[in-house]
Amino acid sequence: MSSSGVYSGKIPKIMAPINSYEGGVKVVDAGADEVYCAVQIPKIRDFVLYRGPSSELPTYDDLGKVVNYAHDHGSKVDLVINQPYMVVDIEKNIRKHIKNCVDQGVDYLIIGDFGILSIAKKMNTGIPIIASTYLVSMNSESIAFLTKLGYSRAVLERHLTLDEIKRIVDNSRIGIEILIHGGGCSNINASCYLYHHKFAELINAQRESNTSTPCALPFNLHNLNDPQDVVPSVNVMDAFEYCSICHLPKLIEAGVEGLKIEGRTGSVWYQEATTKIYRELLDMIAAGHMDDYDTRLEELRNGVYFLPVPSGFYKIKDIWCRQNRCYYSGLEHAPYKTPITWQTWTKQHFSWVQR
Amino acid sequence: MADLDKTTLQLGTAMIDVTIHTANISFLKEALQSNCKKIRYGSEFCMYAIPSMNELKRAYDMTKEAEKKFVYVTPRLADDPMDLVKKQLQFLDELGETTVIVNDLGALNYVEELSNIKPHLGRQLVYTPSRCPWDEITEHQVNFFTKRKVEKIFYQTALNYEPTINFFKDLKVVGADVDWIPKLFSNLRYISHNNLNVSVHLLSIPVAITRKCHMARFLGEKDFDRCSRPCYSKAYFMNNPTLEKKLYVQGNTIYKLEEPNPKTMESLKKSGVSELVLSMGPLSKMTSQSSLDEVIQKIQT
Repeated sequence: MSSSGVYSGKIPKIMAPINSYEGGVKVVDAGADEVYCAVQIPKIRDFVLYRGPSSELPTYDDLGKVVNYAHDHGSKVDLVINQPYMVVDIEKNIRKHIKNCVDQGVDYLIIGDFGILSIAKKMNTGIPIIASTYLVSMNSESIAFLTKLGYSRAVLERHLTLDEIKRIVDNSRIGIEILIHGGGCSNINASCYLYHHKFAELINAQRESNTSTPCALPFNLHNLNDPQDVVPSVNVMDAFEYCSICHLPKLIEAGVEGLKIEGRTGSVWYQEATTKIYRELLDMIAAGHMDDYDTRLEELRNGVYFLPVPSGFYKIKDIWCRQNRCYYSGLEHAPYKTPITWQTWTKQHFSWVQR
Repeated sequence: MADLDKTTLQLGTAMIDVTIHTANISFLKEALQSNCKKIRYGSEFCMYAIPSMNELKRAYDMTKEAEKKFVYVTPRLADDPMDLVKKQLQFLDELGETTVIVNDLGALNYVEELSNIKPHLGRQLVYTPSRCPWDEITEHQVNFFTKRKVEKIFYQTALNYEPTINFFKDLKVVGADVDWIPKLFSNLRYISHNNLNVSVHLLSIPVAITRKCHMARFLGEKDFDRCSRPCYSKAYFMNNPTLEKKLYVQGNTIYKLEEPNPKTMESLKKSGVSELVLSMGPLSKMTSQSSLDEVIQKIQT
């Protein structure tokens, strides 16, 4: 804090996810400095890896409307080119897709593959490019590499500590963004091939265990060297993070340029509510109102705002705080071993109560 | 075949070297007793399992003493382990021409400065959608023609695009690692035709890699920097009764396994692959010279 009471760190931008025009309007009104989104790519809609069409704007017209609204209200639009790799068979589609998006007036392109980067560079769009998490930037040397390639900003991989983020920012000549909220992956993004496809077997497995992603599923573990060593029902891959509200001052001190909220598949309600709360907290910090910030944190921990869908039941502190689901808080914790209260257990196992 | 040493496979006109990959000294001792010509040493997936400088020197000396070629393997890295790896790469550079398997863009950037280091892309830098364990490769049921179209895109790698290959060749990259996914083999020739050596890993296919090591957390390791490395001796089969997929966990990586068979060996012939990599460890059950020789013999026959 400076002597004037105003926070000394530069306040980062909030990047909010959207998948609809309505979402675009709501998050801009809620205080997003930038919105990020993808658009369905015509003719290859059935080729889906990580996220399905529900995470994307349906048409280029929708993108145009989002861009206009954002620009009219002082926000920018980052376009996610949603492929982690490039092959000859989709080259024309991607080229046309980039052109169509650029024509709508987007401000940044987020690119996570060097083949797609070469296409964008050849098109000479003049639009700055952001390095996607698909490029798994985890050290200063990789940021130097991306800088050399012409990237203007980079999104870091989630599996880092606060100290590591600070060191990268200190060594970087380009802006550094980090993800701060939403179901942060248990595995490294571009090294996880457990696609969330909606086929019967996976859906049934998730329904039976009341989980929503493959990495949260429970497994019986059989030691290959010892047939007697079997541990039943372990959520062995479960290491996802959820929230950063308590870390905000440290993240600002680290000097990151952008705070990115995850949730392009989330509801408009979630996108808006999450953006609004991070805006509110950042504004309190910027004004030096740290007492208000602490009070608001306590309210939020006892509240239900941050879940992907509205729910009258879960409190943040009952689930995420108790299980230490904080972004960048540490790498060794095993949330599935953390004892939870009987109330929380009941809610988890009788989810029909909520409905 | 009889004139060839045990670790060169002759498949039709194709000659494929067999290389043994190990991440610790005790496995290295076993590997050196086998009849292989080349050793890969180092951690492929875990930044906490990077050998110390002394261990690297020892592994290098042991390998050279046994008159075998030494290849160093590096994983993805945060800044602290990157500092160590930089020193190791400098050391190797001073010793002369050395191939290094690179799984991190920062490491790739760094080796550009080192004239004797020949970078070879590790599996983490070659995006390959077909590592996915599900056979259902579309979100919903689609018609036959759409499925064919999606399959064509799906069973390729990030290197099946000339600008991407050229991008890496400009960075002195000499080769790339891929997995034993038979449906990929027909597309690997594209990579070798573009003058990159293609190395295929036998058996284990990495489905998901984390820094928050799944096995270490499950076994209660408190500090990854002081990890007791249970992955050198343990691996688990992961069974979810509803999910009919066989997955395995060894260390920070979830794998699926793909056994070679005569049909897939036949398609490997035409793939342009120049190296077959056998990784030692509890998952592959290759932990001794005899188990290595057994696997090599099985492949040859």
